[in-house]
Amino acid sequence: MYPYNLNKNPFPSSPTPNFEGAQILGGKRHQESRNSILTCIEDLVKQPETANSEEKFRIITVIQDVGSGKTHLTLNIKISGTKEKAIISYLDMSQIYPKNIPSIYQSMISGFEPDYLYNLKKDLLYYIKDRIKSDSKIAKKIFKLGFFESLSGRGIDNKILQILENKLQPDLGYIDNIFGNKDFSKNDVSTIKTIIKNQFENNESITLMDMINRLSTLSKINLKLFNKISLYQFDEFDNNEDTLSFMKAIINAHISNTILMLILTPSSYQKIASENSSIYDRLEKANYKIDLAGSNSFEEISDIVLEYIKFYNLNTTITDGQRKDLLSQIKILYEDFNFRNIRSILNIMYNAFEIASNKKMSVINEQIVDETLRKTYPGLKIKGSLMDISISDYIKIKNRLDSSRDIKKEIVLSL
Amino acid sequence: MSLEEKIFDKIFSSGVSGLKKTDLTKEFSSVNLDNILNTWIKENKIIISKKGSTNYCWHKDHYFQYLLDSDPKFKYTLELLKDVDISFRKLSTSIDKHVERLDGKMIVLMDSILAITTKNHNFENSISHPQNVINLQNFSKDFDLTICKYSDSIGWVPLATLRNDLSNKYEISEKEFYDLAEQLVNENRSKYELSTGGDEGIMIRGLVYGYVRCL
Repeated sequence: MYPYNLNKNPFPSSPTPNFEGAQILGGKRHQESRNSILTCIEDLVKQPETANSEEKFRIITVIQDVGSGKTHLTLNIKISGTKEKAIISYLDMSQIYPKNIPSIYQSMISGFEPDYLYNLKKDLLYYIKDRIKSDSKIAKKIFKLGFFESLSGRGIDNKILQILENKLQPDLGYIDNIFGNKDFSKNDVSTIKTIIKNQFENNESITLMDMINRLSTLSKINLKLFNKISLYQFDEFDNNEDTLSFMKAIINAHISNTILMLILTPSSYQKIASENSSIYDRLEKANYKIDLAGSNSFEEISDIVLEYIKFYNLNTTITDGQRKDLLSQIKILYEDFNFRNIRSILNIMYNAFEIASNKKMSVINEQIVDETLRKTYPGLKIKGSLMDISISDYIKIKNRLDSSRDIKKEIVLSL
Repeated sequence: MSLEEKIFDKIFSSGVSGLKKTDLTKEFSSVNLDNILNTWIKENKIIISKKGSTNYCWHKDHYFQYLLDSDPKFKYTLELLKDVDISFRKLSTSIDKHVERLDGKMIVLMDSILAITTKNHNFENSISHPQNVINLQNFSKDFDLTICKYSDSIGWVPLATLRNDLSNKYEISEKEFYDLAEQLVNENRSKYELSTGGDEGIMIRGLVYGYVRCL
């Protein structure tokens, strides 16, 4: 058992966010930012089909310090709340090497769900099936139907299964007329063929224009086949020359029904400003500038900590006294030990819950915090302290002082 | 051997017993004995003193022994003086040791004072006008105004930019600026937000926070 009647440690053990932990999103400012991003998606989904391409393209920037919860927010957007409206590709720019245009493009494609291209291929094949009569000549040619197969109702379905299992190659020379209407251009049809032939991921001798065209086609298909817009999340966006060149090309192309979400630190943003005024100007004009202002404030951090506990403790609630005690200790960590961001506090909380569980403690008290700090941050000292006072004693003294101040305040107010 | 040498040798050879002045006068009647003896007395070579009612002459070394043998008061006083001398020597040795230790400490102290003086000198050199006393309220106002002046669309400003402007205005060093900035941010945590990065800034938990904005 863990403190506060929890069956598991509610805090993430990983030093960086992951998909599992990202389902929990606490903090007023983080939730407001999430709502802003969802509003942007809603807004794009609602755009009429007649709107021109420039009106159907959006840029979102999320600029905040390291450890403030940007990636957590981004992953939360990817895994929850938007599945009905957007197909999302998440790419961590720090994991791309060499960081050049082809590798960034490749990461944009592999950033979708693992079965995305398979589902795309399947839906394209059924799209073809829906637009032809099963006994027509085109159907027979595309799906290579035999005489008896064309007579049975399941002929094309069986052939589609064979194609998906890579046991059959369809004859795509006949699909131009099916897609070649006002919805899809010649370039689009060419891209569709590469998807069905499993050649989409082959990027040899692909030009920048080809990449833009392919991304544009994907956005079209996502809208036509799934009725969803496309969202590309670029985490750890930086001032790399190739990154900025590619981004400029994508922004200039105004790919319809597409959102670019760029996640970066103020430091990276300033570097872009000083090194590439052209792309900086475009980012300054972003449709949504998600501002996580105050994301490292004590109120936000304490709200997030409580959200984790609440998420895994639906049946029994943490009492007011327990909450007050826990928050007073977090406040000391925040103010007197300079743990100023949520990532640091979550790390301490994870370790504190593990230690408390081993000691069979039902709450996190000052001794647990003391032991946690000594184990996870050996040599840590209270800010500005000259005396070698133990952390638990300091927390006790500080809490007593705070509560005596509260009592004095109450007395003064009651007079 | 001259006559004077003979007289001196006679006195010396008389030893602890001494030599009657009258005997000398008889033996060396041809010279002015009183003049010679007075000269030696002045030079502290001989002593003339009475033994009974007769004047005797002693060589100074022998006279000391004569007093020891003949005068118990003198002997006792000498013993006391010897004790005093031993005590004094002991005290002197002890004082010498203390002085030696103090010398060592003084050297260390002097080195420390020298080091501090050098540091202060360097520090004083590093700041242009150490006599300036900064009013934190005025500094805060200028800090905010400079943030407004340089902030980008979401408000972030490199602290280096603020330092450049405010260090010039207040004639303070880089260190003084960041000390004041840190104090200001710590006292107004709900007002300011810091972000990591940059080449210079406020150090928190080993990270350089080089960007600031007003919330």
